Amino acid sequence: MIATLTGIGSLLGGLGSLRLAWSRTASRRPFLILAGWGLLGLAMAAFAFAIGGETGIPFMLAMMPVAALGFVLANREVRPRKEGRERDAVIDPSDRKSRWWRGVLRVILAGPLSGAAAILVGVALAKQLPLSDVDAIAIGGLSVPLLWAGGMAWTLSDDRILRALAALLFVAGLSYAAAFVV
Amino acid sequence: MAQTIWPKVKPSFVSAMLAGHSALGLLFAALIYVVCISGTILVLAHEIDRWENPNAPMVETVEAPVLAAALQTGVAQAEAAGITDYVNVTTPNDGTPNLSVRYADFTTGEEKVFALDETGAIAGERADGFGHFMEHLHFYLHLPHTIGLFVVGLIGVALLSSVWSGVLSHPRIFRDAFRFRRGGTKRLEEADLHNRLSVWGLPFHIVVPLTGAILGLSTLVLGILAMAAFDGDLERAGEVVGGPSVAANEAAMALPDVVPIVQTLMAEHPDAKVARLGMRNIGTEGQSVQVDLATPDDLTITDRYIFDGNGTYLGSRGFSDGSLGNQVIGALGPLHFGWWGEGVWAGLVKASYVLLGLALTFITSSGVAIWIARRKAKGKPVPGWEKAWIAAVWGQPVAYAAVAIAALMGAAGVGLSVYLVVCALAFVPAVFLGQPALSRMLRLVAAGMIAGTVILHAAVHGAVPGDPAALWLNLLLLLTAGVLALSARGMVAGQAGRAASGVPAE
Repeated sequence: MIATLTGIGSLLGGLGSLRLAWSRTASRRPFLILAGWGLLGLAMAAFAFAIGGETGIPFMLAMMPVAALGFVLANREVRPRKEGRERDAVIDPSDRKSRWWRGVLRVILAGPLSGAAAILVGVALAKQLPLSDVDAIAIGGLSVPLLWAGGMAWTLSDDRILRALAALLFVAGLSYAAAFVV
Repeated sequence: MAQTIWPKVKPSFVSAMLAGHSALGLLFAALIYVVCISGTILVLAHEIDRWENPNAPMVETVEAPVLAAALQTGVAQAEAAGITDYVNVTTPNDGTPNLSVRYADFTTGEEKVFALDETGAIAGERADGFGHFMEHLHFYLHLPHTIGLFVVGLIGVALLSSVWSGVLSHPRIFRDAFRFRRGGTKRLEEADLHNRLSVWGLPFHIVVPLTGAILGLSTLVLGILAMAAFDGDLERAGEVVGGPSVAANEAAMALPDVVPIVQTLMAEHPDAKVARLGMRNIGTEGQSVQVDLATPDDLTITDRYIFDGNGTYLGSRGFSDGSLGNQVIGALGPLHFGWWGEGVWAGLVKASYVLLGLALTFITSSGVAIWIARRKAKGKPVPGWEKAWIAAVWGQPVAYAAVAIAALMGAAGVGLSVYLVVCALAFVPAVFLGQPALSRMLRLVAAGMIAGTVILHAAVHGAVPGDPAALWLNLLLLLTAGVLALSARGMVAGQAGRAASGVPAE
């Protein structure tokens, strides 16, 4: 019970401290930020103590966003509706030339090529990591969607599309060599 | 407001990232939206199952002899249907306070679930029309399983990719951490909510698509990795990831006595409870017994202990106490659906997953709304796409309610047809209504359909059914209907206010 209350208190205190750091002057901010993240760490430890580390840590990570959004909601600022462009500086997506072959190449890079490169990295990890079979497969398997998503984000964003193509081919080749040649 | 301590990011980099984020979001928006909203609903899969069977016998504990009797009941039903692939008993330790048995034919896909009483005898067929529909929508998009699972896995990768590009295209991530402006321009209003929900929900927004992508792509990725690691030995690969198996052998064999198997296992694992008891390839030399044990401290839902046809222990999947790799694989499902812990803790996790799932659904929807608002602000409006998006977004709750109504009326078999027809019908009013009117109309229809679902449920199962979870879910549905109706009313009030102040309606 004490651990649970400590967890709840630290979670709210940590977020409160970060909220104060966000609105206060520069002099006290580093301390408030440090205290905020420190209290959130304490909350994680408290929940891990209360219900076990395996379930307590993800519990904290599930609760923290909900509590934080509560703080955001409390900071709601209502303004009159207006039309047209914002006065605040807004960055727009880059205006790219629309050429069909670039679109096709981007889709190929983001989909099959990023996927193949990610799978090859996963295979290289699964084969070369000095771990038990299942541990190496789990790490390799977890890496694939993370890397595929990263490759997808990059190839769709990079304005220099041929650079992305070259890098993906390099990573895929290197991983193939690590997995099947070395 | 606070000055950021983060290094400044070049506007050209942010522009490029935004272009990628925007392209990916728009390309996959509708599919991501369907997967997110159906996944949010499936967090409550156990409660939905209880809602569909509110008067099934409530059972508190099940001893080994009753488990054996329940399994025998299932085997008899399966044999009568000519099925020997799989029979599985589910106990009250698996999320619903009921005892049930299911048989399945993996080749034809035929399956049936029966509710059992406390002795293991059949109390009736268990309804799962709506839950089954939602599961197949979220897992496979109702496509053939292998293709569907891959497509959903790919959507998970796309969503994860959007998270990466979204974070990198947000140079004011800390500076705007608690900023939440309503009103002003439509684009800024949508962007504020989109960004706050995205940033603070980041742990959830990474974990859920990542686990979903792995689960969806498991056949492809784990298959390739295991083949590479084991030089093509798929059987060994399957055993490393999924636990030991018994080689297929069609020769006849008597069923094993499962009572000593369960009792021995329980004596060895006093903290655990039997969640499921299953048999594969029943009545053959290749048969196996699977006992799934649930332990509250474990992140995994259950660990599976596998025995051969003679009752000899072969090993477990290791989800509970195996190596780190086994435990990580075992944690993927619970982390994806928010199914871990027990009692109040489990309830809080589910509640937070529902809220964060709704947030992710809203982020997807608002991402498209931001693009529409940006086009409008630049003088290049896309009213057709705006109406199509409104129909796609608000058509989903209408279609789910229609499927639930069909399931309650005993027509679960036509669920997919009903869903597709209602989704298509949601686009029809877009032809003659403007954007606000279309949005308002679909919200009101969704509210009415959801309220109608509750009324029909009460008519079929009684206003106060035996399982209190059904009552709570009905109240939650009525609350949802109320919120939808109020949001439609809020739109009218908002437009009236804007008209009075001389600002045209959005």
